[in-house]
Amino acid sequence: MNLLVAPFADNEFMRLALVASVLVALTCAVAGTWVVLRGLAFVGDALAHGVLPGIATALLLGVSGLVGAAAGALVMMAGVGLVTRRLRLAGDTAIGLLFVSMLALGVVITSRSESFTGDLTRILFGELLGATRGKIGVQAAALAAVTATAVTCRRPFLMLSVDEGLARSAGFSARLFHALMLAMVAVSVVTGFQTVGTMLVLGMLVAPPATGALFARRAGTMTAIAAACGAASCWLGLLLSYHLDVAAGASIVLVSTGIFAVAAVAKEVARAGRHDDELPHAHGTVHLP
Amino acid sequence: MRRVTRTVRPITRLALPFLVLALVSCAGPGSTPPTPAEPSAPAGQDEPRPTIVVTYSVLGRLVADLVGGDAEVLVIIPDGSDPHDYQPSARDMEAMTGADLLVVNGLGFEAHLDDAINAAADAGTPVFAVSEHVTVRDAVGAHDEGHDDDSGHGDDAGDPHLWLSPATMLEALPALADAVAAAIGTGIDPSELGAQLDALDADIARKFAALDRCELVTGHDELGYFADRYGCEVIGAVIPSMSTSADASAKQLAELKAVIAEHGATTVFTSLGTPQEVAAQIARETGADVVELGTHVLGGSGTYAAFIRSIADDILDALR
Repeated sequence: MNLLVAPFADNEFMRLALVASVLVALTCAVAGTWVVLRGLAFVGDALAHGVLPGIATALLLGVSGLVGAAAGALVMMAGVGLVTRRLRLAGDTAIGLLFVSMLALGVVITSRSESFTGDLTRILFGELLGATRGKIGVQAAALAAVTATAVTCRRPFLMLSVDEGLARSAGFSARLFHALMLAMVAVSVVTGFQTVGTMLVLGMLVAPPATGALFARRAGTMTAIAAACGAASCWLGLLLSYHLDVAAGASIVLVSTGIFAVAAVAKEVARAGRHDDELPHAHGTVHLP
Repeated sequence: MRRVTRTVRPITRLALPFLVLALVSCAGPGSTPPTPAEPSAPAGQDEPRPTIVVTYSVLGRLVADLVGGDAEVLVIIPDGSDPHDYQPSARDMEAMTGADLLVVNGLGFEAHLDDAINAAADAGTPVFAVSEHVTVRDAVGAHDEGHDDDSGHGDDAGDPHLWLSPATMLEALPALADAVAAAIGTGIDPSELGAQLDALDADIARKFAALDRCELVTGHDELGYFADRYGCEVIGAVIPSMSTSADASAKQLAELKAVIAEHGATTVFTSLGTPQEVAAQIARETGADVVELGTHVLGGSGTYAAFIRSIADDILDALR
């Protein structure tokens, strides 16, 4: 028991890192549920890397990285929308285009500037062990905003995830709610980057909700499972970093993907045992209320 | 459909200034050529002076101190950029291959320049690696003793932070002067600079000898040569690695806290590339102060000697 609790009791940096990362995990569990249900993982990935030039520019100008990341996310989402509509290219082509150009722009800015003090590694992988109360406050606000959006827009989000036509026939604007969904993802990425880094926030956005999708038949249950898995990953990941002397942010993401793998195997084993009495249902299928 | 499209368009307009801003701030510093190490260098001479290209600013300053006005000294890695992380541009490559002499640190310090340095050497540019002319320190820091088996700590290549001890740079001075003389065709006398560095070394040694004890907690493992020379001991680092690129682990930080408490250290010396918030948190938990050292940044230092003196003074001020 001492091995599991003492590192946090003895070190304030461990407690701050735990609180900050759990808040990221909860935010990502809420937004990530819709990432998985609506198939937005690639957009999430693109956003996570697309914010890089914004962060780099902000640090150069001496502005908060948060502002830069938000600007980067905005450019990314607007750019994807523009290319998709105007040039009639498939969504993933547009995302791919914007993704690589924003990432390359970020690398160009960080590598050529003479006054760049925050280096690329720390933007990509975060500074989890240097979590501050200020960051925790921002992350708590993000969690509140994302949760409020998800609760308010639950019905249109569900319909959108099943079929856009269904949402439209119920009187919801597919484009508006799609944009809101993307905004939730963007908020999670933009606030999460300063804690776990842009690269690893994607792991939190996909792995715990994917684990939830294995078992849940309702979006709410899926979010709850994702939140539990995400929070457990933070705690276990930090313990791994403490006991095994490995990087903290990456440990958390590895634990969360590890939990998914174990859960997926467990589920397959269980299903193989009772394949006669029940038809398998598709992963991630959600029943409308 | 059409109506909805129109409502989204203003977002694009809002975003455009940010994109332009991003592009402009990238174009500004990006188009900067390798910087001259001597701000006072006479421009537009009738006969072009020979060119010595140096990888980073502090070493560039030393070379400029040595050659005076006999050659133009250009620096590849902009001062203030992390040399452990710097990626060369095509223009940097041109400067390196076209140089009369290329002076590098070596020991993997200019990690991402190694291929470019090799390419320049293959193209016929004479390359002078300072690390080949000094006594290289073992890369394992004092605090690593006892668990050398930890992967990533011990690096067989040796500690690259040579420039932080003037005595180490003195060792390389005669060979450097010979290489410069051979490259630019003018005799170079290192004795004046040598005497200056000698006096500096003696002065710093005298000041540090007056300290009761000198135990240093640093950003990464950068002060080894300095500590060895002036009777100090590096007891821990925020990132216990020769490079700033490594990531901190919770275990290392907990150990660092224990070391700081055990030794009663009062200062955490950070530098370029140190994760500032991690260092600040460790300082808060141990009651230590954070002092930023310009170990990798020349800044406004007029000479190499002034650069070393300011680092030594900052350490002395914190430890007294």
